[in-house]
Amino acid sequence: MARGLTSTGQPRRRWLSVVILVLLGFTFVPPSVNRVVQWFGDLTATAIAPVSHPFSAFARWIAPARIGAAPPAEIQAIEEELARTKLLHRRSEQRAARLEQLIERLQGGLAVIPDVPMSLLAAPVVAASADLSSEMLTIRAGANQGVAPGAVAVADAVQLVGRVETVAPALSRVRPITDPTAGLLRARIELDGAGSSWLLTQLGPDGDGTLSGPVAIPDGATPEAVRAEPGMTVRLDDPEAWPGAAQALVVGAVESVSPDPDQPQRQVVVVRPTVRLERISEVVLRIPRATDASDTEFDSDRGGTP
Amino acid sequence: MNRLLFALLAWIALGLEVGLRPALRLGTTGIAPSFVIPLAVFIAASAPPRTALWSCLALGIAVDLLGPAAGSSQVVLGPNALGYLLAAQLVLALRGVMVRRNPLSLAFLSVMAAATTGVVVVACYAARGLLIDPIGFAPAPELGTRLLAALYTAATGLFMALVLLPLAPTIGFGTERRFGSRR
Repeated sequence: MARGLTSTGQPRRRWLSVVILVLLGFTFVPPSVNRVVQWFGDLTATAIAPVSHPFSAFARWIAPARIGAAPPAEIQAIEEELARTKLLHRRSEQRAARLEQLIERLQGGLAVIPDVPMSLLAAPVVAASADLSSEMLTIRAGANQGVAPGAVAVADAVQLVGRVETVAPALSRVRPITDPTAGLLRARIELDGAGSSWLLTQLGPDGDGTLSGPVAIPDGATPEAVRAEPGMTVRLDDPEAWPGAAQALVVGAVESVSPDPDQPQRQVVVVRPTVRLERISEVVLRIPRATDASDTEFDSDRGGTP
Repeated sequence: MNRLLFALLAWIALGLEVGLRPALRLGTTGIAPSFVIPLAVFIAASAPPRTALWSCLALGIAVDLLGPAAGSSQVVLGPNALGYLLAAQLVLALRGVMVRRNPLSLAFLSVMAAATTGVVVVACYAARGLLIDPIGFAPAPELGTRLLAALYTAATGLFMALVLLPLAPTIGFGTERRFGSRR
């Protein structure tokens, strides 16, 4: 009889049973005591990256993130430059508005949140999550490159992708804003191209690559007077939950507008990012230079604009 | 079994799983085929039982380590490992009645194994959601997605069978350990 087999020819299951019990235990271990497993996860992701990156690049080549046909390179460059300029303009406006609020708060004796400069870092997407239910992206940039949890990931110059959740020495994981567990974000729907008038909305992921949420109608206005329309640009305006480096970045464009089933007078918008976030091949990280990623206000445009 | 070749095949299959799989999603759904399941099925259908179980367990652990599930940024060790182990046991039970060396057998067993893994993974996360922390998906629709993904895995199973079956002698699965042989 071969060593390790029982008299019936079946494999000896003792060690297998022990392993099954250990795995069952790990399945129900709270995240706070799961650090060792996380370390092995980072190690495995690093070991797989050399083979997953070429496949990932190939996959993004055959199924690009851009929605619709890509324009010629020259026009694309001009469009990106225009988008950056618009971003600067919007950010200046938001900054001016917040400075006004800050003056009021200073006058009231409240604490000041310091100005947070940031640096930019381009990082290729090397893998997705192995689990079907998650849209987490693994990027090839980690603590060795100065990445910290909370760093903002951007695509196509101004499209908000998400933010870094976990960081390994050479890799990081980014949770896109369309991930089912990404949470709510507050945004502005620009009613005109100049961005001088807008509506506020709170968007949550739908699980199909879009975000949706109710539109807040300004005081004194009627829903008929101010309406969100398909195609309008939606920009992040959520200084409480997102760092300054993310403010005014493009969340997407309004895809559809419908009445709220519970309150027909209110509108619900569906917003789709300008690119398919699960298919992007590279992100640009906006990393606050201060270590405290919770600083949320007053991103400095110094060195922060591509 | 040639462990070095198995490790190389596992490395490539895991790279395909996290690299190419997102591009094969059906629309904006989470329905996408697996590349690791057909490899696990190939091993389970060809290797001695003990080797098959440990190999599939290793593949499941690797899949667990590579992907945090929805609702968690931390990896959870266990669900896929247990799912792959059960799938391997299923293949061990079925391999005696399968037509040997037929790519369709690998495709069919891949569907069965992927469905088994999907059920176990959803059950584990649902139980974890009740006991530890909330999960980021509703179990019933997620199970539907995974069962449809299991059907889709037949395509990758068929494709990978064309690569893996000729490799059987090289990896150490001789004529006496092919599909249909009882161990």
